[in-house]
Formats: sequence, C-alpha cells, structure tokens
Amino acid sequence: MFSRALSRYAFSMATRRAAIASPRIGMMASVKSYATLPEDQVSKRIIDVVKSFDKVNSTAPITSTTNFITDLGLDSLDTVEVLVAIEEEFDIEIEDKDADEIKTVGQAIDYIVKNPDAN
Amino acid sequence: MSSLSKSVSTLPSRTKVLGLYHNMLRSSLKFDNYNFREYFLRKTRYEFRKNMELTEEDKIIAAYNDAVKQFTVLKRQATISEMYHFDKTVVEPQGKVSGAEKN
Repeated sequence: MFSRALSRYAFSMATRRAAIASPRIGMMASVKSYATLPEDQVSKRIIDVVKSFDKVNSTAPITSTTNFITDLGLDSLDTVEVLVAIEEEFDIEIEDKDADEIKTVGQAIDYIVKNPDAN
Repeated sequence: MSSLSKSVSTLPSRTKVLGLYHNMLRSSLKFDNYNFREYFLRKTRYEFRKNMELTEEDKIIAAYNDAVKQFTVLKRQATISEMYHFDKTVVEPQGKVSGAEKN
C-alpha cells in the first residue's frame, strides 16, 4: 500500500517535471535554430572582413578555399588578428583550440555557421 | 584561458603564444575608451611582432612571462573600465565599432 502510494507519487512528480521541462526544451530548440545564420550571408560577411584587413591584397579573389597564410601572405599573428575581427563581426568568442584549426576562409565560414551564438 | 595566465619555465608552444596574443587583443578590445583601447592594441601588436624574431630559449621564456604579467593587468583594467561610461571621441565612428575597421 505504502509502496504503491510512493510509486504513484513518484509517477506524478515525473509527469509534472516532464510537463515543466518540455516547453523549456522546445523554446531552446527554437532559439537555437533561429540563431544559426545562413551560409551565403556568413560567407559574404567573412569575405568582407578579410578584405578589409589592411595586409590583404584586395585584388586577389577570396573564396572559401583561400588559405590565410599561403594565399593571402599573412603570418600567424595576422591570422589571429583576422580571427579577432571575425569574432567582433559575429559577436562571439572563438575557443583557442578551435582558433588553431581555422586556416582557411572556408573553415571560418563553417565554424560560424555551426555556432548558434553567432549573429 | 586559465593556463594562459600562468608563467612558464619551459619553452611555450606556438599554440600557447598565439592563444595569449588572441586573449590580449580580445581584452584590449573590451576597453570602451578609445585612447586606452587603441593604446593596448598598438602595444600588444608591437610587442609580439618585436619578439617574433627571438631564437634564444631563455629570451623567449622571459618575453612570454612578461606578456603573461601584462595580460593579467590588461584583463583587470579592461574589466574595471567596463564599469564606467566613456563618451565617444570625435575620431570614432558613432555606430558599432567593428574589429576590421581598426586594423
């Protein structure tokens, strides 16, 4: 009897908790999908940021395969500066371990598209 | 972030140095005040570029540790500066200041 009552209590608590939790999950999911930016916009904005960096020769076309070091003639410190400029543009912070992996314009675009905080 | 604010006794890795540069630039950009912000950006860029050519191990370690010390000060002052309001100077664009414009 007692254990039955207890299990019923546990059940009702579980459903209540689920009822509370579910709208929250739904809200988070919608915020996340809303915040992810479309790839064409992201790529245009990143290319603009890279172009406006004064050490980049603006006559060379910038595509997603453009490598910061080999194609744009930047060094490792300049690459960090470009990443900081991209961070400012999208109002995010790139983790150091991720920043190390970004070597081309395309990789930067990928990172931003996958980042739900970017705006 | 926490490992970046510690001084080292062995040669710091490339990732660590670039990470410190990244964090110093980011902290500099937090300054609302144009003069402080531009000064710290200029100083950070200048110091790292100047020390880029170092080859002797002990000099690299000394330069890194010096930068770590400056970074802790920079981080603290950047946070303090966020507590105060500064009017924009006439040389600044009045809208959002993007990182790209300042390079």
